[in-house]
Amino acid sequence: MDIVYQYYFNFLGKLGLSDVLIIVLWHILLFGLACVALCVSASLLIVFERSLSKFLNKGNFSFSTTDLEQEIFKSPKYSCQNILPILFIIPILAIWGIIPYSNKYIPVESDVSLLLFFLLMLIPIMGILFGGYSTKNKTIISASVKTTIVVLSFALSILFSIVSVATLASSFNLNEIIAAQSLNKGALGWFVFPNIIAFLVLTSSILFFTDLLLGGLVDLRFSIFNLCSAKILKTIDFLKYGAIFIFAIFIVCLFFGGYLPPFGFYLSELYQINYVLNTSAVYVEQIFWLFFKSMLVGCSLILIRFFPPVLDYKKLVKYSCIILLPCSILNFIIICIIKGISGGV
Amino acid sequence: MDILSVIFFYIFSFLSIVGSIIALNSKSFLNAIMWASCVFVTVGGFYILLNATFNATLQIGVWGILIPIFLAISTSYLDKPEQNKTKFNIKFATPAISIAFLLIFILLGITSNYFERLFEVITGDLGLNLEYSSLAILSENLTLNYGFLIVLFLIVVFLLIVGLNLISVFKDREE
Amino acid sequence: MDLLTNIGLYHYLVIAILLFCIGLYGLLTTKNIIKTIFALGLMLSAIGLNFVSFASFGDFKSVSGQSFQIFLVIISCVQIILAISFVVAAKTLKHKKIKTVFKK
Repeated sequence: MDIVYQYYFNFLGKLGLSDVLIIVLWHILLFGLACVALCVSASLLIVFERSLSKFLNKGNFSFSTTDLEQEIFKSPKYSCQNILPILFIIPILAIWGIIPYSNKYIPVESDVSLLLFFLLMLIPIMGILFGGYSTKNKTIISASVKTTIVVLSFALSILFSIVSVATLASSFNLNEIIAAQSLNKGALGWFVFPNIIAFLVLTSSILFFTDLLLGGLVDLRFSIFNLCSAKILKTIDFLKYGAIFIFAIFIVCLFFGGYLPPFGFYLSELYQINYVLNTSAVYVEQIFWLFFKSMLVGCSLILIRFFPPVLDYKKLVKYSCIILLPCSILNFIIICIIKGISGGV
Repeated sequence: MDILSVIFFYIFSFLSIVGSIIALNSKSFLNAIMWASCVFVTVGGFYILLNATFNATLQIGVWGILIPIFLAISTSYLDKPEQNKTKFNIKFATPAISIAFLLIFILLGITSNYFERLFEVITGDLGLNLEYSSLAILSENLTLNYGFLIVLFLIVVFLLIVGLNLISVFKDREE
Repeated sequence: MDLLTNIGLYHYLVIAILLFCIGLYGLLTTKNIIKTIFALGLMLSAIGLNFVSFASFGDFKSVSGQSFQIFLVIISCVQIILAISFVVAAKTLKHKKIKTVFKK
């Protein structure tokens, strides 16, 4: 990346552009890269899902828009048609600034990046509630309230699994959590092995979380599509896969070592050519490992979505409150006890 | 960067005081709740200015997001004769919340020392010229420059929100 | 001009006092339950701001102010959830269980 920037800077400098303009253009190019990465990742997941559905003859689990479009054209014009999708897009694109792509390439590094991720996850819930209230339809209001209740119950189990990982790593900083999954041990040092219960709780709750936020409750025939115009339906369908990919990156950072390779050493360090080239190659390799692992996790999440049963409101609440939440709390207590006994800070 | 912290302080103070007055005097339940969440998010911004990021996340998460959700859920179980008279109009509350969140992200970028490094690159304090001598210095600068993308994007989103709100306001007036 | 540009402890205390007074006024004047809850929350967040500002400035630097703010947030969250549940229960069970209990 350094070599690319040098050539880019020299080329534009010879054209006579000022330094500030060159830097601004470089940032715009990187911003375009980020949008392209999001689109490519989401589209790859969509392609994987469609090919799997043909292979398994199971049918598509993503929402069909034909019935919903008829409902939307019946309903009156809402005041927050244009605002709701933005409340969904902002967290998904803001999270790209918190992820550690390598141990040096972190846009916004803070000591509480894990909690920031959880905060950004909660913003779409406000969108559902206030979007539901902006209508004057009592059924939609009650349905939006019920979806928020179910989504919050899953969010609690996510919170406890997150906090258990933070106790293992003794920090909320994502970079330090990845560093705690040490490089020397390779795949055996990842947090998935001591903390497998939290991993299972997190994956199952994330599947239902994304489906509820961007799909809706099946028995009430309510979805976020009721609150938006038909033009925006396709972007929301696309956002679901972007959200799944970002949750996959999050799972990889917490449980699968993030940007660390599974072997215990970097492949680019095998042959020492030049200090600068080796260090820049290590950063590139870290970015590759992160996206490779997150793609695998994302594809496995989509594979899992084909098989589980479709649950209604009462069963979802039972599943979250009776099974997931006690498991995550117990796991958190056990990890605290182990950490206390081992004398770790 | 002291000037930016002063500007942020005054913006947050204005938003919090004005928002609290509007929230207590509004006739619509949900307008009050939206302005209330804006106030609590700005108080979280104060905590970031005071280098208490954990307190800020707690404040924003609990007071800014979760408690407005609980209050909004509770309004569905209560009689609301006033709401039949006044419309729920989120046209002016959402820009306030978006401003608050945007400023908080900018603050987080500041605390990661992004802007200082950017200005150093522009002014040439690190001795950077068109003909580069060492790539290692460049890589150290570029690691933090990516954060500027996030700020640019959030500014664009904020302008979109304000613009769409204004368009909808003018459309309603024509009707 | 220095007073306005050099942000210090007193600026944060002034903001905290203003928010506390606005919350107190709201608590005393509103008849609406949700606005009283919001006014209480405003007062509590002003108190938390007070603690954190003292914890980060000058002679009073320590971490105990920030930790106290964490306790404040947790306790106030629990208090508000309890208040909302009492209100909702009082409204929904008004005509059913309370009358039968008093009848016996």
